[in-house]
Amino acid sequence: MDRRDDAILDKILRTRQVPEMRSNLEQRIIDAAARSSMSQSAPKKMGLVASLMNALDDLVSLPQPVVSLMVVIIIGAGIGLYSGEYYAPSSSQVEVSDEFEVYVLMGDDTNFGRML
Amino acid sequence: MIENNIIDVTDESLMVRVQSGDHEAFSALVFRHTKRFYAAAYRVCSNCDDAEDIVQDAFLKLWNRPEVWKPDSGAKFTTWFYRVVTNQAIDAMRKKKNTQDSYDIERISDERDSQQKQLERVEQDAILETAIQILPERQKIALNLCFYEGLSNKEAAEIMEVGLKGLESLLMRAKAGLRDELARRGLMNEGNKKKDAYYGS
Repeated sequence: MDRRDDAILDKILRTRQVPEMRSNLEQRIIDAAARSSMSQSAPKKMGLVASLMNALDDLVSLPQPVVSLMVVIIIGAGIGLYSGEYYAPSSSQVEVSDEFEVYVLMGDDTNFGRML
Repeated sequence: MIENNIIDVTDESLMVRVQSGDHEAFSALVFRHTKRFYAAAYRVCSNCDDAEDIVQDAFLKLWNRPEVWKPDSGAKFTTWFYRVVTNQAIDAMRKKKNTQDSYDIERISDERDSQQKQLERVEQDAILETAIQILPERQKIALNLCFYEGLSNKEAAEIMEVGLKGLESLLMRAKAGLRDELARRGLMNEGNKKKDAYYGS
């Protein structure tokens, strides 16, 4: 491209125009930004469970909730198993309460009573 | 209304204030730069509505996530924001698969021109706009930034994330491509008679 061509091309390029933007674009941007800040600062709607969880979070703050829960469960199970007071009664040791027996015998359904 | 004490403040200082949630500083930046970035967006997408949307989106992103601008990176705010706006304009253009039909050339008119001259003008503008729009994307951006936005080659290279040599090569190819296209469409013909007559050289 020679220098003359270059100058002519520049001249042509300089004729390119940009249409005026519509008035108030600046104000529209500023208003939209203000609206977006307001919507971000407004409290979000929460479900019941989420609200309760939030309330619980406010009351008890645990550094690692999942880990803490597992530790509590393991400790609880350990205490339960090794406390020495744990026993499983055999079926022969199970007594039916008198009140329950009387209630069954007094029932209208005689077949049910005979079964016992 | 923007306070006087904000008028002389640099863009970068305003951005630091925007990062701490200062809406007034944000307004100052918007009033200072909207027109310039609207023009930059328009030159990429050639559509007024799209250009306005692009600028609005870019400023809103800036307001909602001001931390994406890093003051210690050393980049000027405008250089960085040109990149934001240009990238958004390219994305919008790709999504829309812009065609010549959406160009707003008909809106550009000078009422002082006679009707005949005005028609010629619209035709010439359309040819030029089309020739620019069909340039490869990066050549077009390089041309826009250096020729129309008046940025230095260094700034344009920074925005486009290319080396200086790469930018110069893009510019050279853009101009060569334009010259060929304009010659093909009769705006720059042999001996340059037509455009000499039209552009008054």
